[in-house]
Amino acid sequence: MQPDRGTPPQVSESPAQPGWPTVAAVIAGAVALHLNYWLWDADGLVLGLPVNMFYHVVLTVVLAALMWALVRWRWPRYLDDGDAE
Amino acid sequence: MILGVIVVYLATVLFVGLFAHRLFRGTGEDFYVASRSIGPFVLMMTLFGTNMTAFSILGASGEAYRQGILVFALMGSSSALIVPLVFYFIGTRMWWLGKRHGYLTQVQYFRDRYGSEPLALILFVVLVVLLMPYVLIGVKGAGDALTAVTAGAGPGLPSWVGSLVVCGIIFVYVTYGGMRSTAWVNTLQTSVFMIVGALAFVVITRSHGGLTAAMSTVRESDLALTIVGRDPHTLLTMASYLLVPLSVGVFPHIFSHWMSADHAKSFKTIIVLYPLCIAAVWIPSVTLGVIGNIDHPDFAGPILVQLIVESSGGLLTGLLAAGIFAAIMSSLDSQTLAVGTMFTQDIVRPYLFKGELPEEKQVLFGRVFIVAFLATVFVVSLFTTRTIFDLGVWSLSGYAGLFPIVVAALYWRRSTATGALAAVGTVVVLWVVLLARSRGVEGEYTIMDTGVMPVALIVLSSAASVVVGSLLGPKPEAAAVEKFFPTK
Repeated sequence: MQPDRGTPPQVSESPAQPGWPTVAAVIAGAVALHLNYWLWDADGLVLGLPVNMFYHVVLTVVLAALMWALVRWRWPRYLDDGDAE
Repeated sequence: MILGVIVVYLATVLFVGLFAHRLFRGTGEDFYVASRSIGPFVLMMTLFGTNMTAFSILGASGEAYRQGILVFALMGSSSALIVPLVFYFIGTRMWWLGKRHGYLTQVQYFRDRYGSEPLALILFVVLVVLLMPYVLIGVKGAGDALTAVTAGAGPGLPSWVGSLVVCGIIFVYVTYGGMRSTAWVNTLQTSVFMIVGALAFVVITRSHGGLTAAMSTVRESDLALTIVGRDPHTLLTMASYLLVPLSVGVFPHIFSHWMSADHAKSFKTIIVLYPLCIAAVWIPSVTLGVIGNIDHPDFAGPILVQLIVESSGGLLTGLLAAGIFAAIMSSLDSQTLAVGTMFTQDIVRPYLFKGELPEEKQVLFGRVFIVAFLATVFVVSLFTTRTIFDLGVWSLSGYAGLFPIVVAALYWRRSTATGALAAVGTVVVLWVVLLARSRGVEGEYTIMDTGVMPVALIVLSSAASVVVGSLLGPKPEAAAVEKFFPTK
């Protein structure tokens, strides 16, 4: 095991970063989108896929976009400071 | 032809694994976490491949064959939502701590964080015990897959042959090259099973007149397979399933890969692309499973294998077998390496060598434990029935139950060893009790038949235990805790 490398660095946040309540709200929204009660009985096909499955495939694309936004605008600075060590 | 393709694939795997050894530096840190040098692309491929097991190809199509498209939402889409968040909130912080303090295993972190030897030992036992059914599924699944694809008109190769081949190949490249070989090979294997899945999707849907025609046929014969349906318990079941992927935050083999990352920013690629990777693997698995109902309404075997054997020649069947082997081995190699790491770093190093284990002996012990573990798993697989597959689902629930302990350790300064011990105890007791109650229940067991999966009760009880147990004990000293948290 390597020796302890001292006090952890500061966590600095730029004013442009969304706050954690915003992040939590977005995650809760994603959970709500996942539990798509309104489409459970939906019949029909879209591009060959049943409606509900097509919805969830689109949701994976939306989730990828949300994750991109998360790492783009809410990436903890201390993680990159640690890289310098 | 089929065996020829499999042999070529396995030879390629061995070549890549042995080639990666050229960069081996001879240290324990290099063997176990590739000197923390893995970049974003390999990290993404190896993490995704490790997390995709045989279930993602064979099991998902089998479940979709029985339950329809609901499976995509229950298992695929829930992973696409939860797993990247676990990498973001848990993986990156664990990586930061691992790099600062030199951790190679979770137990090292928890021992250091809470200063409790009993907690470290109990966690070690629970983590290894929960891994056993998961590993056995892979070894057994490889044997069954080889039997199925070589069956033709006869009985096919015996199951133990596939199990032995998988254990033998993994033994060679994991003991020889450690984490770097594992990561490189997993990158190859992840590419293979993603490409094979797409190929199978195109070939089989074409043989049924295209995706739209095939799905229309299924829809007309059994509408329930193409909708989710409003069962009164569906909401609770779907919400419960969201908790299963939390297990990723506790898997020892995923932790090992986190530790191997070169920079925190290398996590960004997997966090963003994970939902798309899930779609790439689960769309073929689920749609082909559903389509299997057209020609085989009462099929008992692996439906995907059956469809491929019917729809294509030996080449694609051989590629499918290679894809299944790839999915199995990309998980099994990481799990094997993680067990070797844990035995060496959590048991041998602190208890037999008082923490001072020379580098070359760290590598030697790791190799010995990997060989012993693979040999044990292979022998046990010979006497294991398919009920082990049922136990695999419970393995995930057990790991998910430990998730609140990880969150508390990482984000709650006030959490204590007492709280963590209370949570581990709660998980173990509930896991055993609920598993016993589920025996003999037809279909999926839910709590008091409400649709709530056992994992929900285990996770919530574990969270309550860690909070109550921590608050009941004395407050930890701030000075002892601060080094585990970024300064605010």
